[in-house]
Amino acid sequence: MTSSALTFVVVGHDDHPIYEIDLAARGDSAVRDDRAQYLHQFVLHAALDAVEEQQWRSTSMHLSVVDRFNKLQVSAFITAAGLKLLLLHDGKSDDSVRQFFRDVYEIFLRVMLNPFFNPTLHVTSPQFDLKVRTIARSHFR
Amino acid sequence: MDAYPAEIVTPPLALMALLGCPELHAQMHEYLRSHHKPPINSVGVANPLDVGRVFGERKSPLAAGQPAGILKADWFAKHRQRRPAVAVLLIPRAEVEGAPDAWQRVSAQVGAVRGATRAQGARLVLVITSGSSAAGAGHVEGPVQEERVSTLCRQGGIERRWVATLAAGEGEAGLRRVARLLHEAAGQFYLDDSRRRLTLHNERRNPPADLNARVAFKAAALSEFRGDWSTAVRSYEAAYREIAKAAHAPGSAGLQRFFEIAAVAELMHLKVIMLLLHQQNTARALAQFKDHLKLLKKKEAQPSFFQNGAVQAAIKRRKLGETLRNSPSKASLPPGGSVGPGAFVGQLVMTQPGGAGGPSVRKLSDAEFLAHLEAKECSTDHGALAVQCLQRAEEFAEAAREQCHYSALVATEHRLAGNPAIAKPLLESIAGVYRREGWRVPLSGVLQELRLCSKALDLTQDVVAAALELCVLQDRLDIGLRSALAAEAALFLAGAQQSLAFTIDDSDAHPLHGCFALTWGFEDAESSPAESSEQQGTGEPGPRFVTALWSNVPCSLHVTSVQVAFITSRGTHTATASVKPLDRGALQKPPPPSAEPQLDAWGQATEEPSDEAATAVTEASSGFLLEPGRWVVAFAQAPNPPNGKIGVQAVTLRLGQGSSSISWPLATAKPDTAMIGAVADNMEAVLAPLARLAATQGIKVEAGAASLELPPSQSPPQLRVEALGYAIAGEKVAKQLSAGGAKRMRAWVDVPVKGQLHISACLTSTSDEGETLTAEASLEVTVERPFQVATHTSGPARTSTLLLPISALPETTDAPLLADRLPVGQACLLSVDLTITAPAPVVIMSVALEPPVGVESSAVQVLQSLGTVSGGTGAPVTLSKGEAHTARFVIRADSACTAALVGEVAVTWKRPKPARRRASSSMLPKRSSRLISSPRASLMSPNALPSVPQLTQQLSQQQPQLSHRRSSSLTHTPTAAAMTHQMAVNQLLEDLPEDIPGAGMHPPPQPVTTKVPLPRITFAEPGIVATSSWPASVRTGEAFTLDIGIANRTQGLQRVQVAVGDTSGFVFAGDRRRMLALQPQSSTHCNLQVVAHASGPLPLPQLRLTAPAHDSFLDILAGHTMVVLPSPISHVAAA
Repeated sequence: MTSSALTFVVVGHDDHPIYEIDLAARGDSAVRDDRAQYLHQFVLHAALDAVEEQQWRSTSMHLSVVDRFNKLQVSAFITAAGLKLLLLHDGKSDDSVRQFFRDVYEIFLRVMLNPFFNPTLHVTSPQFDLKVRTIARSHFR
Repeated sequence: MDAYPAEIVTPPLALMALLGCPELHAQMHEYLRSHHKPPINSVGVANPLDVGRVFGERKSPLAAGQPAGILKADWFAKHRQRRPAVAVLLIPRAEVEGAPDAWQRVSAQVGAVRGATRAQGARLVLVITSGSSAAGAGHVEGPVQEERVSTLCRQGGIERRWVATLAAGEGEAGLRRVARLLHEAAGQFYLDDSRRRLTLHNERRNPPADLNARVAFKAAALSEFRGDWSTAVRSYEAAYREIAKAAHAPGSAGLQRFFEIAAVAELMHLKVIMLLLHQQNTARALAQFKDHLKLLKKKEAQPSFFQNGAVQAAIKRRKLGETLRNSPSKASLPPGGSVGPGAFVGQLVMTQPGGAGGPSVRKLSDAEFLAHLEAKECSTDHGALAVQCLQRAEEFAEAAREQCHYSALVATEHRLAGNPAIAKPLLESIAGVYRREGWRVPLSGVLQELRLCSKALDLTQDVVAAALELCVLQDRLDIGLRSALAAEAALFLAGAQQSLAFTIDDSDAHPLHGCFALTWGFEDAESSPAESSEQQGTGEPGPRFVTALWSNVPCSLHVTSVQVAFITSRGTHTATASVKPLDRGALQKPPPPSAEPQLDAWGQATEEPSDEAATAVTEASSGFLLEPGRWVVAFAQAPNPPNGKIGVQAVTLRLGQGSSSISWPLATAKPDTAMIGAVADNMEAVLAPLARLAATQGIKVEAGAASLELPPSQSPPQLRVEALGYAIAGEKVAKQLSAGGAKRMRAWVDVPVKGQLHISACLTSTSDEGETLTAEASLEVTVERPFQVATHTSGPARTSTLLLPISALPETTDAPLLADRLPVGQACLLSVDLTITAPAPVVIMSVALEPPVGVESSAVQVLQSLGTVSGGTGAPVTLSKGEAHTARFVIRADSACTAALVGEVAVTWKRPKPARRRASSSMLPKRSSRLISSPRASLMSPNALPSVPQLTQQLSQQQPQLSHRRSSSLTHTPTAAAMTHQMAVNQLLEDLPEDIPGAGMHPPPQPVTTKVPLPRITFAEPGIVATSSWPASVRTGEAFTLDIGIANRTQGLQRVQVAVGDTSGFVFAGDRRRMLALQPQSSTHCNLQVVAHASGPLPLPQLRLTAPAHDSFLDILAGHTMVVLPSPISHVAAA
């Protein structure tokens, strides 16, 4: 959790982001660097092209690093429903990123099983936020 | 490559010195330069005795130690232009074989040339010319005396083979022979020179890396001179390795030293990649590129990708330039001094005017070097450089979203460079992409840039639009910034200096879609409160229009008025809506006439008006405040439509002093109460306000279009009322009136579009004793809609079009909302889907498309009716609730038109078997007959029985009250005389047979024709037309071609990306993404080789055609399937 760039995004159908969290910020009181946030979102958005290109080349859900921008790397994970889990980081090991995606996918499945979940709306559950932060803390310590 | 001098980027040519016989110089120079391969450069010296100034003196060998520089800046130019490899002495034959004085002169010349070339090691070639032009071609003289030739060779120190003869009669053949000899001599010179330098260098002890690099570089250049390209590449690579060592050697940390090494490395890198690419050795060239970038990586991490690195470097350099320009303390160079390139590559020297000895030249100190760099950076146009670099990166970017990223950076640089007019369209295009894909953080960044550009261009409307869109991005910007943006927008909207007009359509991609939300509908006529008719005064009132408004803008907006434009067959009518409280008490007790319209907050609808509301009421004399996070409901009284049909064209908010407006065009919106816009993410607010209106106030709201029907026809009072269990909108429902089973009559009643149909009757009878009794009976029938109609249009089969905006057509306020778009001049498909909503089956007899009412000539032609889907042959089809029926029509428009009227769908249907309902039956949920014994009437005499017209009037006045009463069963049967008297005057009643109970309650179902207006359709000229073709059927494993034809019908260059998406069931060869550039008025084809690996009806691969410039895309093959037959392999195996 000491890295300067660690942003997690779930991209739904039609490429709409339905969940975003800055895992590098410590809590709500953390001062966000707006410029970095803009850059991270720009990079994540631009990485969607690479994800769409590489998801057909692999049979695995975990696509590893799909795009790079300077020191930033974008790792991707495609769910069975076609949702894209993107993580922007500055060079985390592929194994820890893979574990992170697997654990987040598991709790995101529980969110999707909620009968009131709408895949076109944003996920606003604070419990989901907390769990994602906990998973990130355990894998990117 | 234009930045490098020509001697670097062109292959070097050997240089010859032509001595003597100046009349031959031009001819030989021309031949050597233009006809010989490879070309040879030459310089001419008329007097061979002056040859010393051409070759010069040899320099002394370099002493050990650190050289002054790595590579002389003019070394290449010197060897290409000033240092000949061969001295060609042209000697007339007459002088060789002539008188002794002539021979002595020749000997002196040979000696002088030998002496001059010895220092540089240049080769000497003697050419003995003979004959003259008068001798003519083909004239050949005898051989030269061999004794004289041997003497000349001895004097020149050359072998016999370096002596050639050139006779005038030989022509080009002689020149070719001499040129070949000269080329061989030059090659010998460059080879010997290279060996000499290497031998000399090998004798040095521990030479520095700089010197190694220099020697290797010169050896490589000399190899290039003689055309030995492989050796040249090896030597250049060796030189580059040496310079890399020098870069990492101790002592290279100085800034000037680093600059010199970088310049030399750049030169060597350039030579290496040029030769490698010329040899088509791309892999080594790429490796060299990586090595070069790795070498120049000084202290910061180098970007992984070249374009990203270039972009970041350009932006950082621009920022550095700005910092330097704005720096208060700037270093300065000594007065009078000028900085220029030094003698070595990458070195700068200071030239200062001196005294009598002339100007002094010295190396720069580190401080002076920094001052020079600072001055140079300050004079550079970094903005233009950054834009140029970013545009290059944008061109190289293959992915559309990456291009978006670079375009945003380009736009920012344009704005910073003072070109907001160029930046604004770029930003608008990018904002559309981010808005459509819902990426709000990049969108907010782009919107902030867009707002700054609009402000710089003084475009107030765009500034306000950007501010409004920005201020509703809740979780992206601080509340303080959002409030400031909203206040700025509110100030502009409230001001009278400029009239701002915003139109919000139902597209999700509209910029202001997230700022406001609006729902609308027509109030059900039966549920409308009495005050609606009171507002109209005398005459029949029209329906009331209800609209609810929501604002996400984090500040209050002052709304002057809410105007609603209605459209009827008579034309357009505008009414001003009133904002009213919605609590039940206020509805039952209309506010006093002096009361002003009030704001309403839905969350506090049942509470007492707060102080805030009271303040709003006070302010409402000049309008009201549209506050954030609260629903405001407004009512508008519509005019009474002549044909019972009315629609809403637009709802407009007049803001501030009335000069600004926000309008929602509803003319072409689908007839639904779906919300336009979005509200904040809280469930309380998301609840549909009109549904809450019905729940709390009992006001039923119809969908966006209303049909006002006359109330049920008045009928003479009877005791018993029977009707069908439910009615279907559009049909006539039979109402049977009976009096104790003695007399049965029937009336046909038109039912309203939707809601409850109240049927009531009153019977006044007089007994033989003169007692007057009044019986009232009522019945409530639920009116159901027969079906829902949905229409959708599609372009021509297997043809998809990217329609460009209709710029030629003027914008009209009548129909600004575009329902759909179709291409002009092509047969398009219009599908009408009927989904049965009635509880019982409905027989659909026919579906026809009729021209629009009141329009003489419609722009849209109905070419053909393709029949129905469910019925097949067009025969009547019986459908139950939930089943669908589709009719298809082929339509075409020959000219572009906006929101053209298509017409009406006329659906003829009937009931197959109506249900029966009796009001007196205990099985019915509602029994509506009632008997009231009036004591007052019992005192009346028979003469006091009211006449029939009075009774009818009385019924019509009682009708609203009866609908709210709960009635009891009939207990009294009137006399037959009284009944006969009253029924005879009502021409609507039909007599029914008395002996058959229930006769007439099941009349043969009558066909009903329901007409539904179709939404308007826009026809536009297609800018880009894509046509696809594929075989009708293939076999598994059999390759076939999917041909995509793309035609550009515009007058500009169009870039189209063809992207292949999901290819389930198929495999294909080739790239998934292709970018095509279509010239104006041209077409191209894009073929995909596809192989099916599954059988059955398979959906074709997803193929998306994107026109980034127009921010639009098409899924060409969406919905198309292909029949794939199984492979006949099993059959072959059996045989």
